[in-house]
Amino acid sequence: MISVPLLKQSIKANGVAWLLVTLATSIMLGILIFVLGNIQSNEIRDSLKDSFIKSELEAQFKSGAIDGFVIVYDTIYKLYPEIKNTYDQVTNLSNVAVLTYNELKNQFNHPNPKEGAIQIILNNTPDEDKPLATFILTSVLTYYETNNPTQNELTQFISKLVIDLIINNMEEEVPEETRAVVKSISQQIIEIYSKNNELTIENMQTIARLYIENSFYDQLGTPNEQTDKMLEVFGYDTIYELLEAFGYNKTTVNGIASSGIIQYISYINNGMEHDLAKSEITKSLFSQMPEDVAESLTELGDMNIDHLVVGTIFYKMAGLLLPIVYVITTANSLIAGQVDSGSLAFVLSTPTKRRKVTITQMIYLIGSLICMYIIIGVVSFIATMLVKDKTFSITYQDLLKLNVGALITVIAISGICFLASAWFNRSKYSVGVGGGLSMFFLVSTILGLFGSSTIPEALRIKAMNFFNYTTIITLFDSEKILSGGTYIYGLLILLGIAIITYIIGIIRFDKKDLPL
Amino acid sequence: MNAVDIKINHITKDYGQNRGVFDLNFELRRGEIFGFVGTNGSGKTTTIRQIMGFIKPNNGHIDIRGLDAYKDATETKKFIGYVPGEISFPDLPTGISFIKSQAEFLKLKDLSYANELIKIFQIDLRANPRKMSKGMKQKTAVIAALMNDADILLLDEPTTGLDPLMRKLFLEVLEKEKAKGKTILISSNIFEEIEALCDRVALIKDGKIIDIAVMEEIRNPIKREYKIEFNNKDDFEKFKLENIEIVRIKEEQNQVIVKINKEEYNSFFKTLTKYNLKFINENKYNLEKYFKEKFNRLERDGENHD
Repeated sequence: MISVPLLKQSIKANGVAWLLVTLATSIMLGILIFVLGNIQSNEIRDSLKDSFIKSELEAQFKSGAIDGFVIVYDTIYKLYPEIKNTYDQVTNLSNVAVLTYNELKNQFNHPNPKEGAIQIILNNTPDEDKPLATFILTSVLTYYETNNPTQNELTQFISKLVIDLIINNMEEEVPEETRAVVKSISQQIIEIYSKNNELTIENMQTIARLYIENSFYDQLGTPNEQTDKMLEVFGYDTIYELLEAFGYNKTTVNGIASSGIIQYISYINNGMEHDLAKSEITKSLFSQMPEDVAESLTELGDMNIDHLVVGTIFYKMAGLLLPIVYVITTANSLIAGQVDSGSLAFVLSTPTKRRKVTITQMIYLIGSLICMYIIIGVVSFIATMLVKDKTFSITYQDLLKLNVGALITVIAISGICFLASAWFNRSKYSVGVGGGLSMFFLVSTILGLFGSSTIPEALRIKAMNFFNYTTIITLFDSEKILSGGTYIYGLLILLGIAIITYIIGIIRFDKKDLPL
Repeated sequence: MNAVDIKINHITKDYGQNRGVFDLNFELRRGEIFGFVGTNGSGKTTTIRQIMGFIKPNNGHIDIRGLDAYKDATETKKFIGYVPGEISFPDLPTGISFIKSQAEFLKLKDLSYANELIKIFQIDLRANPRKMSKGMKQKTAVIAALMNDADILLLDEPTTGLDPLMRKLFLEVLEKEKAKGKTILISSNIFEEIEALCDRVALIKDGKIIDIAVMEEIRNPIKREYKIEFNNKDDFEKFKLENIEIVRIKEEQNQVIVKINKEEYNSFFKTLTKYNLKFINENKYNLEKYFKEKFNRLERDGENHD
């Protein structure tokens, strides 16, 4: 059913174009896979992911720091009157005690000025205050008598005493950590109060800020729901491993906490509400997106540069371009070109049926495309083999499917070009219609990419998805081949297009008048 | 009468605007060379394409040795050789590869006749057929059409592009083919080119056959024309009184043109001996004159009808 000499002619006439297109496309694909496998093809995605994660982490830090700050600030605010009272009381008592002690000792040569002073003062003290006063007086005078301190040393002792009193005064069930916090902040409150006799709001804020700043990094080790969730998403065992992986250390983490608090303080001091201020400061890239954090992370994690570049950009666009150009020129030269020039007269003036001519040319066209994709496929396999141990993430099985899918797509397009070539007697109409449609399909696919689900939602232009409905190349769903899903029906439709166009072309050529 | 090889039965192929061929009806007899003359666009190529089965007539049919030219196009090609009017070769590297490829299509193993023709035409077939000169293309196409020793040859303006020497060579080759008993249809728009070769010539104009001339009758007409000029007026005046058919008279030059029947040659020349002649010359009859007469007559008839 085929004409051997015509097949030979077609091979001789189109062989060079075939070879060039096959080589160029194979080399393009080979280099692409090799490069993707070697330069960390997911570098871009990873750095994108990194900045997303960092943004999220820093938001978490600031949020935690602000929460801590608010708690500490509240504590200071509540503690302040008690500390103030206690401090005033102790200071007064100790001043009176020291004064009395010195008087008894120096002017009256009292044999036991300490006990004497205590007795004298207690006599003037109401009964209910006596136990505490006794304790304070005893402590102060014992210290005074033993160490003969300077005023400064005495003040420090008094401060310590006040703190002890505050701590002792706390309820039994208060945990040790809280006691430590209270101790630390009380010290600072007293330090300032002892100098200025009062504490401003700024003083309290500074104390709270400094406390958080110094302890934030260490505090992160305490397990909590938020960090556990992050560790699960990113796949790390401890928060410190996660921080190290993303290049954080104690200084940077505490610095971030500090800057969050400073911002917060300035917002609050300018009259902003707590919730608004906090959400302004802790806005991460994720929190600005409509979806929630986990979903965005999932999509980003699923975005695969290898799939995008090889599956879509190569097999559906760049890698289709040259084969389609080959199909356009070859399909035309196989029939319409030879009718237009008249060279087909020599074939048809021998006992060769028209149908034999069309079937031979069809077999050449389809056969050459099959050979082309076998070579492209083999090259893709070899290139993948070379980068197998690296980061290239497409399997041999998927590559096989991609090659078969692209082959079917090109065969469907060749059917359209073949039909145009068999239909028209003039090359210009054959190329105009066949080539025009083919190029339209290809360009639509390229435009449609920007609206397709292949690229992350953040970068997508939804309106351009329209173009995916104006091209038959959409029926070759390379993304589903790579990521799973039903792709077979699209390929069957493409095969159907090929079968119908070739049959119509053959029948039309049998019946039409030939200007030979 | 020889057997008929190609019978064209009232075929019409109407392309509109008076283009195409209309109710053509003629036949090619076995062993004859049939000339097909007409201006460009008169329908020669359209007719040949229908004989080749490339075009389906709107009406009528063409019968080739009992086969239908369109339906049995593949069968008829077994004994038809064809030189297209516009020659364009397949994309092959050399003329030799083209000839070999054609031989493969024809399942022709023996290329000795092709080689013989190559020698006769003195053609270098190592050239790329697409870059050949028009003459070389023509010769290559003729070789491809003849090499199969096909019984019927359809040659669409095969001599255009050939230099006079080559044209002569080519016509000699066709005469040899005729001697082998081939039936040949050759089209041309130049009368002189084919009148020496053809047995019959059809004139086609605006898609209609005006007339089919039998060349034997033109080469050997029943009456021949002679132009006679006399040395003196007396002879001239006297001659006019003879019982001889005079077609035209030129008084000033003492010239007459006469028409003489075959049987009257002897008496005519005897008569002439009595006169003092300056010269006598035969006015040769040819295809062009024949068709001109035919054409004039047709137009006159047309006018009369109107």
